[in-house]
Parts: sequence; structure tokens; C-alpha cells
Amino acid sequence: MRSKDLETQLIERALSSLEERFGIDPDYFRSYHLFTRRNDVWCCTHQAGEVELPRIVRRGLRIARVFEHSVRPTTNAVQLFGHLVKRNRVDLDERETKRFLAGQTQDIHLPEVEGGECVTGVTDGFVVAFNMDFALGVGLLKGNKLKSQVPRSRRVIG
Amino acid sequence: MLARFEEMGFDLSQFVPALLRPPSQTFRINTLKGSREQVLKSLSLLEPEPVGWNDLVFRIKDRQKLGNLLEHFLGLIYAQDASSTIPVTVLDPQPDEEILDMAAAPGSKATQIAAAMANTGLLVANDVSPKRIPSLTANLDRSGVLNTVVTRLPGQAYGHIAAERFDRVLIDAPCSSEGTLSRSFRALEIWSKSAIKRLSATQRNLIMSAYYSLKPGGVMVYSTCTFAPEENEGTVSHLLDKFPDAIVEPTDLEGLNSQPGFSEWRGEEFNPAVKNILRLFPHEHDGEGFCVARISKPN
Ligand SMILES: C[S@@+](CC[C@H](N)C(=O)[O-])C[C@H]1O[C@@H](n2cnc3c(N)ncnc32)[C@H](O)[C@@H]1O
Repeated sequence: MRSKDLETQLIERALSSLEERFGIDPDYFRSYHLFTRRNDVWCCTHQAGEVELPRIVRRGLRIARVFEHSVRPTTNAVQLFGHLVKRNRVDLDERETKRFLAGQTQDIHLPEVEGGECVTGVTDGFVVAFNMDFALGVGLLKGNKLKSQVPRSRRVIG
Repeated sequence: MLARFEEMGFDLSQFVPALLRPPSQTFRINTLKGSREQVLKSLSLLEPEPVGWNDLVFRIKDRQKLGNLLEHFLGLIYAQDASSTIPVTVLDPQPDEEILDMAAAPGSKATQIAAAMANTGLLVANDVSPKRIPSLTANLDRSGVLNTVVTRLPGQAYGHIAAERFDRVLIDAPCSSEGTLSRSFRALEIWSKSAIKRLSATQRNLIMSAYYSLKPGGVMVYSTCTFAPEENEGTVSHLLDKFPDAIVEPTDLEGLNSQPGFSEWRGEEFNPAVKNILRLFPHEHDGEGFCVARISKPN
């Protein structure tokens, strides 16, 4: 079992990274129970976090995976908390959305670049892809290439 | 099976074709992910028609692969048969409560409960089958559910491990599934008189366990997707024999063409209170065959 300190550290790293990269206010999550499993951060209501029962398979929703140099929010989490994203969002049209849902990598059209920087502040790394007002999921951006991070089980093909 | 349907009083020339005809496709709006207005605007091309008894459930005219829609991917909608949305409508979950869904996989009703609770409080979504748990967790994920703990226990255990704990309990029981023949013939493969006997024994244990796990003043719903009286009125009567003060409440849902519970079957008289059970038949109601009982525990 992991010590409480390590768990708190991992959660704090996840929250501060979500704030730094996406502008998500960490206070939003303070009203929930957060916990870790390996390098994943999970979120549930306090009652769901505290209840003791035999043979619990899981509690709540996995919201992020913490890597050595980055934090990737899950598709399920950004679909729920997408309205909180202020930075590093890319807007996809219908065709791009279809490819994204199918789990593909694609060249996307980013807004005008001024002096090497995207005017909307989108930088290489994990971004949240949107269609209209709806957060679709997470992509990995490098230049104009967007690699969909939609898990295999959630992909929509055709 | 047909002889039994005839014995239940159905005119087979009407009943059987209706049973085999797929009902209209329906979806439920998942308010954990978006508002009713937002989703209806987004799906206006499908011309959704409200079912009447639940303002988040809609029928569509033309058949669609709902699973391929963006709205489905986003978890804004859940494709669910109209009848299957009734048990939770009748259960009427409230925010901040503690609720048990005793046989929850694949999660159509658990996700509906979580949405009605607005992702607050505690929902325990239990199922005994290790094979069916992944579909349950996948549906909870897609629906954005945060208030749920998934357990893998025989529902029979809850009466002991969580006595008088829950505000509400749903027992959407394993059953002979006669009402689902329009969707698949799987029910025919498992159907036999001995299967009904075996299932009704399990259902009796589950309904007792659920009643024990309910707080005084709590409410539970017992539902099946089958017509067999042994699995419906028989199970509820069994509970009433053991707990005569349990109350089978009448339910009145707007626009729903339902029938009362059977008063007897093959010479067995049921407890008169089972007339308050809601019975749905495919030749009268556009949805799968279902049976729903709302039962409360006195304070
Ligand atoms: C009718 S299905 C439930 C459907 C589910 N409520 C939904 O709406 O998606 C019945 C479920 O009961 C489960 N089951 C069977 N025996 C059980 C038991 N003794 N305890 C708990 N679950 C059981 C089965 O694995 C099956 O998933």
C-alpha cells in the first residue's frame, strides 16, 4: 500500500498540471474524494470514497494518468469537466471529429500562428479536442499533427 | 411458452406478433453530461417524441444506429428500451441518498439512477457476474458517473452486510426474459419450466435481501422483463407473506398503457396487494414486456 504522502503528492501533481496546462481550477475537485491507483488519479463523491463493502471492484471515475513529465486527463474526465478547460483546446470540424473519434492521427488546421506561437496559446503536448461546445477527449499535439488518445473501447468507426 | 401465454389470457394472434415486433427505438438523455435542451437541439433531425411518463425519455421514428452518434459517444444519450426506463422512474431516486442497484450489469438503470441523483450521494451498483461487470463499468464511464461503487457479490449478501442501510433499492432481477423476444431469441434458449422455478427461487432470495437492506421508510422497486407470474406476483407475494407490513404502492405514470398484476395463477391465489404491480404487454404498449412493483417499508 502506498503511503498517504505519496498519494497526496501524486494528486497534487495531477491537479497542478491540469491547472497549468488547461486552466482547470483545482478547487473544483476539492468537493470530491480523490485517490490513486498506481499512476492513475480517480475521483468520486465522498460517500462513494468512504463506504466499506466486500468485493469492491471500483469507485468513481479515473480522471488522469500521471507520467514522468506530463499528466494526461482521461477521455471520460474531459467529457465531464470539459467546460472548465481554458487553455490548450483545439476545435475540430465534422470531418476532423470523425477521425478523432476513430482514434486516428491527423493534420489539423490550427488558428493563425504569429511569430512561431499559436495565437490561442495552444502548444505541443496534451490538448483537449472540442466539437462545438462539447469536449470530445484528449489528443497529443505535435506541430499540426493531432494524435487522438480516445481509448480503443470508446472509438467510433464509420 | 405459448400455452402459458394463452393461460395468462392473451389472444395469441395479437400477442405473439407484437412480442416479436421490435418496439420503437428510444433513448434517455443523460443530464450528467448535458441539458435536455442542449441534447434535443443537437438531435432535432431525429424528431424525438417524448414518451410522456419521463421527460428525459424519447422515441424516434426511423431506426438509427444510435451507438454511432456523436451524442452517444459523448454520453449525452443512453439507448434504452422505453419499458426499461420505467423501474427507475418509479423508484424516483433523489440527490444525496444511498441507493443499491442489486443486479446492475450492464448498467442501463444504474446510469439512470446516478443521473437522477445528480452524481451525489452513494450508488452501489452490484452484479454477481464477473463477465458482465466490464459492460457495467464501461457504461458508468461513458455516462460520467462519480457517485458509484461497483461491487461483485451475490445480491443475497446485502441483507446481511448492509442491513437497513439504503434509502432505495432496485432489484432488476435475473429472469426468464420472455418480454425481450423482439430483441433476441436468447430467452428461448434458456427458457424451460425448471428455469422459471430456479429463477423464482433466486428472485425470492433477492427480494428478501433487498427488503432487509432497506431503511425503515425506504422504497424499493422489483422489476423483471418477463411475463411469468411465478417470477412477478409470486415473488412479491412471497415477500408479503414474510413481511405483511410491506406496502405494494400503486403507480400511475402519465401516458402509460399498463395492466394490474394477476390475482392468481394455476390455482394459487396471490396476496391481493399485488394488483398494484404494473404490467406492460407489447400488444398494448410500445416497449418490451415488463413488470414493475414499487414496495415501501413502513417506518
Ligand atoms: C436483467 S439483468 C440486469 C439489467 C440491468 N439492471 C440493466 O438495467 O442494465 C439481471 C442481472 O442480474 C445478475 N444476477 C444474476 N444473479 C444474481 C445474483 N444472485 N446477485 C446479483 N446479481 C445477479 C446477472 O448477472 C444480470 O446482470
